[in-house]
Amino acid sequence: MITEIHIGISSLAEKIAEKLSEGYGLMCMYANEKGATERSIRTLLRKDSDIITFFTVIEGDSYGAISPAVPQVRPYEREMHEMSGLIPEGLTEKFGPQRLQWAYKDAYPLQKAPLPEERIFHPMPDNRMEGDGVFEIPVGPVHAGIIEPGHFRFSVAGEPILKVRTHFGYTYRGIEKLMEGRSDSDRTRLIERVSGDTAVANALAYAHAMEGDTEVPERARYLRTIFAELERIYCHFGDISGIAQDTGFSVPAVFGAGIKEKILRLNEIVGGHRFLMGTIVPGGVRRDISDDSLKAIQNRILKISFDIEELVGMMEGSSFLMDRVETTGILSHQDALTYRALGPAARASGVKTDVRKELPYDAYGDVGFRVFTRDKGDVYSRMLVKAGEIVESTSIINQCLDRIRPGPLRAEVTPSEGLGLGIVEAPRGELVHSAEIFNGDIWRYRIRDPSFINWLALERALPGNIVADFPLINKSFNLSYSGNDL
Amino acid sequence: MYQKSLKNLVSDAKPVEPYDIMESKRLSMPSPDSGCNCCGKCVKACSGKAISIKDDVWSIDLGKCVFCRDCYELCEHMQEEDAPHYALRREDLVFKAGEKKDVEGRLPKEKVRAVRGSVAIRELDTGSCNACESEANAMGNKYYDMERFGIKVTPSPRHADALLVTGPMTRNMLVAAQKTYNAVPDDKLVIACGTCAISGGLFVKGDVIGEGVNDTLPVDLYIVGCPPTPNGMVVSLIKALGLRH
Repeated sequence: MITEIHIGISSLAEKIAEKLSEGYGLMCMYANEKGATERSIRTLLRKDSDIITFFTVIEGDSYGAISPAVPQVRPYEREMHEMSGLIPEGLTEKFGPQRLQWAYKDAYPLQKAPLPEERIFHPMPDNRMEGDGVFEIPVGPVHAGIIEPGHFRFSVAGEPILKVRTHFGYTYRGIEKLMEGRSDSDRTRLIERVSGDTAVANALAYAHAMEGDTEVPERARYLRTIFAELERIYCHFGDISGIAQDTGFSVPAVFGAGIKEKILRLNEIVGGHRFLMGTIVPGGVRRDISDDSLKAIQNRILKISFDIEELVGMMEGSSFLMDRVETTGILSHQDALTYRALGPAARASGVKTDVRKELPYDAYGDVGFRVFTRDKGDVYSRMLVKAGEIVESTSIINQCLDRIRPGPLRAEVTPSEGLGLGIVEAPRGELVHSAEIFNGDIWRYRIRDPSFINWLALERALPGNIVADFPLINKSFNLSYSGNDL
Repeated sequence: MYQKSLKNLVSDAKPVEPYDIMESKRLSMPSPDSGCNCCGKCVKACSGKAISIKDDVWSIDLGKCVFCRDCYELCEHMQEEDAPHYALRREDLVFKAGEKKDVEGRLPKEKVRAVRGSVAIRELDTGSCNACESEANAMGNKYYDMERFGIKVTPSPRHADALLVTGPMTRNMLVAAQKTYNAVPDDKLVIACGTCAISGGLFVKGDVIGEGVNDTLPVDLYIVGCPPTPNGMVVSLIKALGLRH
């Protein structure tokens, strides 16, 4: 249920703080351009299935800063400043670049007017900590493994990390701007490439944002659920095998990577693409899958519950691996709540949050499953949460396979005017797509990947650990750089 | 359980795929049959602007294709053809209707002087969506097992013979990419891996530099796919560099 409230800028901070104290979580915040809408700020808050949006019209480009009163707003305020050119007044420090290291002169990327050619280099802000024996270690953007680019600054005294700052933007391609003025199939192709291993979740969120009140056929809803869970399974297998890899324990690492490959091959058989790109479209799914494919999924799913048991058993059986993962990279329950950590990272810290349960979409309302939580918040807990989720996912797929019936696959979609929201549980956590639609075209499209929030949680989990444990902790969160940068 | 797992893993039944099977698994590219009357429906629907019709000649640029299969659903005349794994020149990736050509050549000797039986590659992400990274990681799993052909991923560009570049070369990554390129010792190869790296793909109008990596770094090898399959990457490296298989 979405409640839209129009309020003035002067009472916005107060209202957000009031809702947060009532137990609402801040999902997203972004600015609109003048034109089809007023120059405005949209705030999205959610408590279970209850969604509130604040629509705040502002005069000119500047407004009284909200983040001094409500610290949770800070990353969004920084984003609005950089991407939409809003100037928060009354902040003591200046925002550093979040995505744009090459800023425009007197212009911002999401403006409707043509962008100037001239660019100004914005250096990263210094993160120097001073004191006896305090060193700074810069890492990245080109890392040692095969991973995405990002820059980290570690301030260390000896081995333990004192403070970490993350600097991103290296994969900034301007997707939100590219979404405007495109055809529907172009947008679907684009949205699947926001983050390659979250292709299904992104396409699903986009579909939900576009569908509005459209009734999706039953078979399509079940197929979507199966695809989304297949994606979750291969992502989590990759993560657990990566944790084994980063501790140097090759046997489970190879074993886990092998199972991930098996699921990717299964994806190719059932969806025609190893990452299931091009399977989900607004209104339903693109292609039907045959009974043979359903049988193939069932056979693979049966084996997966044994595979995950074996993989985790292998890892738990090794005392040196347990030494590395237990009590490493603890994200405390309080931090997880304050920063509103999402997905497996939050669930490992004892926060019971799962969009599939709170706001059931597609077939999740019809199937039974358990939200898996742990309360220690260390690497081991995150590993166990992911392992537990794999088992739950196999159960969800099994229930879907039992209930799926032949039927139509795609409904005609008439995009709703105004706000279109897509909220899904991606493998990394709550993914929010918000579209401002006017006359059938997108005026503003905002993607809030779970990584956007969880990178901040990761910064909180690192201090106190040794530098050598950073890859391990990073892998246990397994956040997306391209989803963060867009 | 640990003992049992070890026994399962270290067994005679190897899951590794023979080279021939890896070579034969190809992506499919569209090619219209003789019934095509150049109506232009597929040109309009193509998300990557890969299909074009000029003077009644239909052609597809595999460097721009995102393999979304939209065109098959539109037109009954569209047939599936085997796509090449790679090409050595950008213009070789443009295929006319029904055209069959072998573009999978071998790099000239003076280019591959540093490669003698094995190659060390350094992966460089210049803004990809992490699907290419996932597939590059998969090259090392037990099915493709790239190390049996002498392909190795090094952590440092200073030990690398080749740069495997993915992504459309974002503005923010340009300096880092050039520094990485300069850090690789001479006789280096640059491999553009995936549609984004070859032509900029869907992001060519976004905040990226030029059309693909070729505008900033000299590319020697183009690996086709969005993302390329792991077997495609391994086979491309083997065939183009003349590794033993």
